Amino acid sequence: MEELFGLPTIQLMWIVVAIVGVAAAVIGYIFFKRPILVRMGLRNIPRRRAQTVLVTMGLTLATIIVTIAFSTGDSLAVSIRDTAIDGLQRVDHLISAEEVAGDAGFEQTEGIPQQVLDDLSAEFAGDERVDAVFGARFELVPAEHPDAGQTEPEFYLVGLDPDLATRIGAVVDESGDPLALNALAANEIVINQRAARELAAGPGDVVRLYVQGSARPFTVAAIGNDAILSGNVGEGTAGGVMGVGAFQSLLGSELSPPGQWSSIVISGAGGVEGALDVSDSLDADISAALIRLGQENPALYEPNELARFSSEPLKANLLEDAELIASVFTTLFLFMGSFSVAAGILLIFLIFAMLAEERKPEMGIARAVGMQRNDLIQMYISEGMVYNMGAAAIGVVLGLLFALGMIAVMNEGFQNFGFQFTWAVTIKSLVISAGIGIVITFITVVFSSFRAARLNIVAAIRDIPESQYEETYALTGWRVLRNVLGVFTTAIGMALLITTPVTLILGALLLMMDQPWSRRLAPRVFLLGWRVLRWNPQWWVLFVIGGIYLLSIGLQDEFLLPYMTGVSLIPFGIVMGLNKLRLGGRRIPQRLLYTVGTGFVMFLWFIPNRWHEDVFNTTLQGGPELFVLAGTMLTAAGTLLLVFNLDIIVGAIRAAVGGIGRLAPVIRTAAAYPAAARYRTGMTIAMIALITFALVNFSTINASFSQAFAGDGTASGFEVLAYSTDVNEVNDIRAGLQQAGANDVLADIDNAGRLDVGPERGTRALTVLTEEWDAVANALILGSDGQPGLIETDVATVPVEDRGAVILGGIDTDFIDGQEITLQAISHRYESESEVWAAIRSGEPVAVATDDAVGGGFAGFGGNGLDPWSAPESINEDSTRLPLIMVELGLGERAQRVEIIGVIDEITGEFIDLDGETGSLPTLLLPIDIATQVTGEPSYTRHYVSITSDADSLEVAQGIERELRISAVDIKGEIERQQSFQSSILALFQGFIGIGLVAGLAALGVIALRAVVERRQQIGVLRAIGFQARLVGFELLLEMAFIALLGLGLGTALALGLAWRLFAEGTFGDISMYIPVGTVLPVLIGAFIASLVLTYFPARQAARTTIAEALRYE
Amino acid sequence: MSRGPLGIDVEAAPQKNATAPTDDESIIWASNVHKTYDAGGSPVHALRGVSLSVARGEMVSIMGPSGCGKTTLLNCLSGLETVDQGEISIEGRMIQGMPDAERTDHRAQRMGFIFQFYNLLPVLSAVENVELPLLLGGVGQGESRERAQQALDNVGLLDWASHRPAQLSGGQRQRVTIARALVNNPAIVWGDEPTGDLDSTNANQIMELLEELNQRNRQTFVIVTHDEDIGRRANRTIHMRDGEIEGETIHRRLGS
Repeated sequence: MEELFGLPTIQLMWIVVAIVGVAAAVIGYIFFKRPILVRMGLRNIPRRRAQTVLVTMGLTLATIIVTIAFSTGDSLAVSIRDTAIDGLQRVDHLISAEEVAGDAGFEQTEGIPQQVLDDLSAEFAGDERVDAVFGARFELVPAEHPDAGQTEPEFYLVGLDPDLATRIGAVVDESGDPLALNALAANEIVINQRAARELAAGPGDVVRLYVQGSARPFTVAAIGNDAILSGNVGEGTAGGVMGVGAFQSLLGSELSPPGQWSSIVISGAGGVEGALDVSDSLDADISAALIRLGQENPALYEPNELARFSSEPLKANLLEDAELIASVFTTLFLFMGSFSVAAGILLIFLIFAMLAEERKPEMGIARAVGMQRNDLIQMYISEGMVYNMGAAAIGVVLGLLFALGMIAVMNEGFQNFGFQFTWAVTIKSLVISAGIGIVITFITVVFSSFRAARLNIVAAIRDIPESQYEETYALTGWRVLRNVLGVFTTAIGMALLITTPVTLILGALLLMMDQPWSRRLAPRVFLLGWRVLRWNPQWWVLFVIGGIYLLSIGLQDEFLLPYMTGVSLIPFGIVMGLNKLRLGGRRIPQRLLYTVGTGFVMFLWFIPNRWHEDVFNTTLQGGPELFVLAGTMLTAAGTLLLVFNLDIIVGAIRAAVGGIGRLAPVIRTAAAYPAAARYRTGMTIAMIALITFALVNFSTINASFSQAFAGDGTASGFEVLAYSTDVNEVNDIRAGLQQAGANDVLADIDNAGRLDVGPERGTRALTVLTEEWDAVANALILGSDGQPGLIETDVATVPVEDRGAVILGGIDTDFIDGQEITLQAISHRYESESEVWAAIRSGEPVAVATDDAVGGGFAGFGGNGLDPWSAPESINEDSTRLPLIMVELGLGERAQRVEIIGVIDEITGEFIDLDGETGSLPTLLLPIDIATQVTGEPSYTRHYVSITSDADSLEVAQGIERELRISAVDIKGEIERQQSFQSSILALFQGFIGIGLVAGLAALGVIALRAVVERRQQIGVLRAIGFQARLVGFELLLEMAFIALLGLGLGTALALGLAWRLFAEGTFGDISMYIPVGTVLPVLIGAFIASLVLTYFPARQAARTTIAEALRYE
Repeated sequence: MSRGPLGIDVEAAPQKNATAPTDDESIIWASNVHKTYDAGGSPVHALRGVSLSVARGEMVSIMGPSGCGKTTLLNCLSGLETVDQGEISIEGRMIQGMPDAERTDHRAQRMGFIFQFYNLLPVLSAVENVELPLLLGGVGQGESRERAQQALDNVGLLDWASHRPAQLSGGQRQRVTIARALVNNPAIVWGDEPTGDLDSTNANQIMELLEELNQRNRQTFVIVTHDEDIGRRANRTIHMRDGEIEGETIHRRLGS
């Protein structure tokens, strides 16, 4: 992978290496200056081995996530690159004919004349970058292997100049050895691996190729690899190659006019990968040559004739795509993994807080005998760095193993698509992964160290709660003034830090004066910002100021990320500030503060976006990055809300189950301990909730899409879809089957509708223009100027190239009878959907359109920018009634005005989408006769088949393929395959996100272990007064289960809440929210069981505590 | 009566291998109890053939220098710890060889404990701490709360019932511990340095409270202490040295 976030990965690597170097330098500095601190830090490592393992585990998470992301990216890059190179072989550049506007306003695809090939060959004959220039013909023909009883309706036949192809080794066999096409007899063919599999054919077998109903036998001479020149034109299509003479003879002059090529192939010098470096320059030269040849040979070429041929550096582009896909996936994984990284960071904070608590008395004594706070920090950093290095090494190894597993899962998902990924990783990625892991954990360790080293000496030595020494402010006038001043001075400090060049110039000027006073003053200028900042460094102040700043940035840029960060930080900051104040000698109740504050933050996230926009009278845009921000902010708010109200929850639990006989004291203590230890309980809940949020939210959104597009009813009422082209034309499926005597297949068919698809990119429609509402009473027609009246001139004034393209689908009455398409809006002139279909059935000039045809200001029609939704105001995108929308299709004699009387529902119309993979073109369905009048002969015909209730869709599809030799798709099976694919990918991402749950579970383990140690004496007492040993263990288990449940519950509630808001406000269009209970619940239950398993061991340890020893423990 | 090595009046040590008590008055009886600890590979003989008996309603103090085995003896007698050799009978039930669960139930129903460092659960309020043994014994929540409040009232802390231990003074905490020890009306109350962490005023108040409860309820108290003033307030003091009972001093006869 060469780039990530637009940054070259090599550059990223050096940046990471530099930061790691700085971290190492910090440790080195500490070691050389105060070796005793490093030694003290290191000696802590073997003191508690279980804890060391947990610390390392927590630190490992970030490295694992980053390694997985990079290794997956590398694997994708390598796999796609290998596939591209294997699939292209000697095809470096491809020249194809662009479609041209015909006399009817439609584009037509024409071949490339031999003259162009000859001229280009001559042009590049002496070019050392080019090995060969040759033509290729492609055609789709049905194929059959009669001896094996196998058919393949989609067989791509390629015709090449056999001598040239042989000379450069254009076609190779499965092991990469070139095949001699010039040695093929006229009745011989090389088929590709896919065709060999589909037809169960091998060398020596005879296959039949069908053209317009008649079959021609060909003997398989060899099996070629799955490359473009052997018929694999994408996604592993079956095909074969032969000499162009045999090709021509098979197709005939009507389907394959002599002297015409589908494409011109240019093979670069130096073998398969030899010409990649010169690809750009060669491409430019090819394009220039095409233009020049046209200009220099006016006798040979029409004006601009050669301009319709375009050159594409196919191999270079595919390799670029490989890089791009790898980069996108790496980013996606990093993005998804950010939750796990955050959970890992929280775990480190928690562990360091635990370490600090455990070592509090000794740290207090150390401080008492003269150790500075900075010394403690350095000690912790030294210790942390050792964990860090170990964790990075382990993390990289584990990350690679995880990535290996993920590639296996991806291969499972992609196996139906004929694509296999190869696991790969580059040294560069390993360095970046380990480096980023070290950097993230180093920063976390440094922050954790600051917190751990912050202690009150007396409280530490006496091992009593710090809260007794917690700083609060009495709300005196001076305090108020100081805090207000603090806000402003902090802002000034921040400004000074930001405007470093100013202080730099000022300092430089002072230094240049070379006076004693200026030398003294200069460094102070540099430090001014920092000193101002330090005057009253309060997080809450920074939160408020930072929040306001981000909010203003968000409003200015109309960008939700800074805006939502800002509006979330401000309440947090205010709550933190108010928490420090004393009013009349009393603190404001924390529960009140945090409940109101965090509740408000959650409210801000759960209200529709437009409420925010309305308040500030602006528009705010955002993307998937908000997913991470929402997760972080909601989890923070939700966790605080929970921990400050835990006693209420505990009370409710006690009221509900507290009276269960002898379990009453167990439940009481199990609920009381988490409530008493807010910090650790909160951190653990946050970790579990954060990952649960990501998991549930992602799964819900993903599953809702899957459910919408692959669920029941999306086949629009049809179970089988068959295609026929002019090479093997079938006008009527049932008639064809009857003719073939296939009564068994025919008996399974209930209905077979026909849909003629117009030239896919050749249809141009013209926007007309009209808006009529309240049609009968007030026939209002608006033009582009907003004035009433039909503006006929628009028709003439809109240039052809500015008009939008649509795909026209001519449908017959059988199609109309069989379809179950839902219309999301219908014309105000009709009362029901059935009336709309009846109008089309009667052959009126009316059509139904996909929503992209009518939405967004006639996006699909180009032209004058009229938006049917915007005028009059009473109609909007939520409306289910359409105004009068007329479109003019085609030009000249074929032009036809059609009214759009219905909008196809996005979801049920999925299988009617006719633009395939060519892009996102709007589609109109209209009476077949009108479509024929506008487009002439269709490009191909789709046959939509519905089957009888007891028939098998796969058997019907296979029957159609076998009997009619046209391609047929089992839609039901396709849906199942799609669902299976989506399930695999969902499982993959769930697994990836779920890695973060390890952090939450580890946190439970950490606090359970710590509980056993710090509560040893209390356990002794409990045992002394009559707690059975098993009850002590059970109590701890119950306690951890309680925390785990709170985390899982909070994360689930927040995720579903946010998902509900997003679906409710139409972020995902018409898709309804679907909660994948069957997918999510097992994960949550698994996490819960895992938390119990992990707590079991500390619980057992607690149960086995010797009473007398425990009572002696201090 | 003879004078012991520390100048304390001692009676002759009880006979080793004493036979199990046959009369109802002897609530605690131990014979030839041995206990050895493993201290980093070298054995420490904490108890070397201790035999004693305590009458029902008696208040006995156990005294001796640090490391003489006082606490170990209390732990062994109360069933908190198993013995290596010897026999112990509490209320006529032999507790050596008794399964842990049975011993635990026995403790819950018939014994109360007062420790030097209070050992209250910091996450529960005073009244919740006190009612814990009752809940363990299967007493209903309402009754438990009522009896816990009564117990706190008995030690003068009813007004502090909803406070957490951290919000109470040392003396108050120890009173809560006493209330917890007595709430299920145990036959025997064990005290391990119950005043060890208190100033003299508080210590005196606590001892007065224990004496009052002992006399009022006729409960048996066994108190480990190294404070002679405290020890003298018992009916009898057992003196220990190097894991053995060196002798005993009777301060006042039971019932006098």
